[in-house]
Amino acid sequence: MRVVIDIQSLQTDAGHRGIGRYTLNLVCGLLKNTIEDQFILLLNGFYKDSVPEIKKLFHQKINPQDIVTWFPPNYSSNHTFDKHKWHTASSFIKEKFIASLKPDFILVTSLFDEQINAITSVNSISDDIPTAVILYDLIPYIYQDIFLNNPDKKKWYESKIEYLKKADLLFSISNSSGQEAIKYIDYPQYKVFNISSDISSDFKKLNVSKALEDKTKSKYNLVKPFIMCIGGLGEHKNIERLIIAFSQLPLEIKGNYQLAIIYKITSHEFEYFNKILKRYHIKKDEIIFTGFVPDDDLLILYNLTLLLVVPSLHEGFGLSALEAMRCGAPVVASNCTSLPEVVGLKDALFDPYSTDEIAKIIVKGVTDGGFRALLIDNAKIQSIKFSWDATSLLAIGAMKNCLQNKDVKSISYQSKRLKLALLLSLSHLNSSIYNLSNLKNILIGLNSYYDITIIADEISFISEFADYGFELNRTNWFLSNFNSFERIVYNIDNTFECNFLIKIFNKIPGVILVNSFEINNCYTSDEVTKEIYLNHGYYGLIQKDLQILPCNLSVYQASIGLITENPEYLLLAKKWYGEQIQEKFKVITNAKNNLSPELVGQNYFKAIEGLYKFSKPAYLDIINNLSSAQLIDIGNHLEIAKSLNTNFAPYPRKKQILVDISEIVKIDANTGIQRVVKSILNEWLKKPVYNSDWRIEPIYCVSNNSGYFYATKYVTNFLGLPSIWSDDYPIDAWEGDVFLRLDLGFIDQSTYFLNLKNRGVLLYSIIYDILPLTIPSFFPKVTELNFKKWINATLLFDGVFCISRSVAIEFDHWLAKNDLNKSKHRPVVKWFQLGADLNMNGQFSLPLIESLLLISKIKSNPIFLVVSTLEPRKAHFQVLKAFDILWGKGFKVNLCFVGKEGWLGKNELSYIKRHSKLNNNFFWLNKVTDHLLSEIYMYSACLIAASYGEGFGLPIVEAAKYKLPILARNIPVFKEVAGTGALYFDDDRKPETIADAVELWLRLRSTNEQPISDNLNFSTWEQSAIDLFMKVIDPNKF
Amino acid sequence: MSKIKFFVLSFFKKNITRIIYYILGSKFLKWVVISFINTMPSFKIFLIYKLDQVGINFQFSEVQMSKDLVPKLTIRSEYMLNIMDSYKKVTIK
Repeated sequence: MRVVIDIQSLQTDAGHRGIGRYTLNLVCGLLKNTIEDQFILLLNGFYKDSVPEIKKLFHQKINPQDIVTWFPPNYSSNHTFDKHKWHTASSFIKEKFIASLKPDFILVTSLFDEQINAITSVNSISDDIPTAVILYDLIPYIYQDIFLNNPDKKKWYESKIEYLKKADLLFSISNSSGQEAIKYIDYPQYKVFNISSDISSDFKKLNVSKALEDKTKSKYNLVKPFIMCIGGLGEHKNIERLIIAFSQLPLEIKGNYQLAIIYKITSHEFEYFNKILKRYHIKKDEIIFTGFVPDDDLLILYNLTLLLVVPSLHEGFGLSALEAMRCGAPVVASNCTSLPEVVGLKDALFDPYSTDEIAKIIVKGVTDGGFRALLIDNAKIQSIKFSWDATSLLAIGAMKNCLQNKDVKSISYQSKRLKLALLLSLSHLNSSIYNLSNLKNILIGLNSYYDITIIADEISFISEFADYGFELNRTNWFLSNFNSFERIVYNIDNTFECNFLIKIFNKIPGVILVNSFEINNCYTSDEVTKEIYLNHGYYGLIQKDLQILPCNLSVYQASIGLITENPEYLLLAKKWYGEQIQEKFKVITNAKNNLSPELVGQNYFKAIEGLYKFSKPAYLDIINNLSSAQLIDIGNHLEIAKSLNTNFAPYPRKKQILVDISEIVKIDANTGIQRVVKSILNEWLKKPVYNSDWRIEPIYCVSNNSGYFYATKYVTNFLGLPSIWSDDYPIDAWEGDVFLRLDLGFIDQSTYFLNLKNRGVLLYSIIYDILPLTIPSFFPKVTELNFKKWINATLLFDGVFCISRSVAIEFDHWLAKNDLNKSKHRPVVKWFQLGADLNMNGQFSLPLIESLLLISKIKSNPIFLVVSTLEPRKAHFQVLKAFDILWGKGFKVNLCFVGKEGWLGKNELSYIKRHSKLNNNFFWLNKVTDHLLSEIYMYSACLIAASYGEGFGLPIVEAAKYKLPILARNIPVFKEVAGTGALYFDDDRKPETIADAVELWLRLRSTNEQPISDNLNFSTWEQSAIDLFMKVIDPNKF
Repeated sequence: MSKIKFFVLSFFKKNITRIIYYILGSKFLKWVVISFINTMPSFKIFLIYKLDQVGINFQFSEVQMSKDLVPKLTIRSEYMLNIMDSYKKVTIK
């Protein structure tokens, strides 16, 4: 049995009350007590913050994929739309969403939830799936004068009662609450099951130490032994009579005991009760209103109390009685509704309407040792009769029984004749399969099942169909009358004559008769470009001959189904669009084998009905229902469209890898990170291996706007393609898609990330380094703050891919240090190989002759090369000072900095710019192309990698490509990248350290003993892109 | 063509220069209507100066790129809306 459990009650205000606890414990019980049944937990995406919290609650109790989220249309008070209508529209969407999960049973844990965005309903559009509802009580309905005196609220509550009546099963939490349904709403007795209740296992008998006792009592101003009562909203809690009864107690009892009323009391209620206390001359320290008491303290108070009194006139169950009994406390309770079931001892019951009786039983409870012993014994015996295991097993059993007794619903075809419209174009005179002759046969056969109307613009070519009794009509007529047809069928072939049919089909979807696999000729060339992009992504657009790629996806996704007589078309459809398409594709192979029109008609009838029943997109039914109930209007249609789109993913579809490239879309500054971004994009967008099962979609966000856009304009420009749309569209994302933050940008999208995660999108991020966290002194304050926000948003992600093992280790340590190891969720940390290809096609930044002169000047002595932006972390100043020492000692060496001016301190920059050896032995090239950089690498003697911290160390890899020896700082990432291929110097800030290292290196070189970088392993961007891709699509595999 | 309309969304010098050459390079151009979209003030002043120098008449308007200019619906939500519109227009059964 597959059961969808609506656990929205955990997300609303009810989640913090008894209903929330009931739901949580019941669901845990259901998950624990069956292995053959499958449970799907349904959450409401409106309460976005609660979704990850609730998923944590069920961590390791259920497969994460079995917790699903639906998204109602947004309701805002600005909407002019009537909220009851909005609620009904939302109910339609929710019920269809649940139906799309294909459950055998639906269990609604709370039907009465007052919050506007809490959507609850039962069988509002269909009763195909049996539904059970948990009934806690009908107190508001029974005491309407008190609880439903507001007409709006009454209307709302009555609508819920109507839903309750439609439920196939009613699970009452006590026998008493079940009887209420039978008595007050005429609910059939045979559908009511008392599944009872239990409480949290936290409530148990404790040995409370004297210190804890004193501490807890003093917290709530309890200075004497105390009697307690759990209060609550409403007169039915009968607190007033309890207070009066207390006033009637003998003086010695009032003087020796306090009454603690545990209740999150409002100031208004407090005033009201104060008046009563005064009226009955009760001193302030005799009755204590504790206010809200957390569960931990409540447990202690239950263990300490002399007596729990439950004076309620009406309860659905009476949790406090059971909680106190589990803690070993003596309990006396009202003899009303469910309380006798819970307490289970006649002597412990009293008439709650009589203050005398209440006073009498309190006196007995605190003074009569024998009576107290009886109550304590009863508590022990009675409290073990309730268990979540028993409750959940009763619920499972009732649902299974209900299923067995329900008529098995097979494909039952409608008994009344349905109206079918068949849309044709002139081209069908010569269609390969569904030409007029074959169509005639099929239609004659179908005539036994449907009232058929043939729709075409040119009526003359089908006039002969009129002789067979078929109605003929034009498309304009159809556009205004299509809703009178239960079945709509389009005959589409690969000719431009069908362009208008496709346009109608896109507005009014139906079943398609497939004449040829390709339908590219149905589109204009502009439309083909768009379709190629939608079908095959950018990879499709870069193919030289667009006609070789099919453009069927939009039609497949929009269609109710497809029918053909050529089995090869199904094979081709599966090849291009995956196995999923099989559900929508019916192949009728025997239609041509001289079958009688009756048998042909029967085959087609079964195919059409099967498609309408099983593969019709759910949103079409919703739109039809909303339209019929006149629930769509200008106030809500945008939000309904968004909700339908979010809840019902198109199929077939390739899952998307949404690649965040926001920074590079804003400005391409050719930074190291942006070189990585472009190199990966270049591989992923252009090669078939990445595009066969996935859809690569670069996306970007903009400041002050939550959400992302497809970077269509940027990517078409990047790939040299004509533009597709005039504007970039916001992204769509559904379960199974992957979001990858490839670029490093600081626009805060944390709310949107949560939204994506709740939709089932997997979130991954590249981490280039975490240096702003580990060595913040090297970064501007604003960078550090932005980075902290960025990394905090990352903690929500499913995984991170670091650009080196060292960064992965460092990030892991950082997570551990920040106590995130204890959290139930933390991102998976992996690393991937970074590529390094120098682009040799770049242009010289200087005229050729000047470049040559410059190079000849630089290479007059052995060149020590430093390649990086000038910023404090890169240690340029330490290197230059080291060379000052060397030049002072008479060494004939040249130093060359290649890199842009970053955010180096004023003094350091000025020292570099005004250095006496600048352009003599010391050179700073702040703008070079890759080509010139290649030349410099070739002529240099040694690369100095002096940076205090790096994520990877790209210059080391680049230097190794030119077999350039390397002198590097001894930090983990350089050791990881360069291994034994470099000479290392200590990680300190003394110029002498680097000067000594250069001297040593020169000595080693003189005897040809310096470490060589020839054997360094490095990846190409092709390898890097594959490595990252494989990890993104299945990070747990690696 | 004697009148041409440009939309200028530009932050970077390279683009600015390119746009100026487009405008000034059109010998037949007598009038330009330019809508600036979040454009830097310095560029506007520079462009006015250049246009004045070569004797091209001009008319400017300011457009601030706001959320209104950004499509609010995704491609598929637009599709849903289209279907809803089709169903809404027809007579209810």
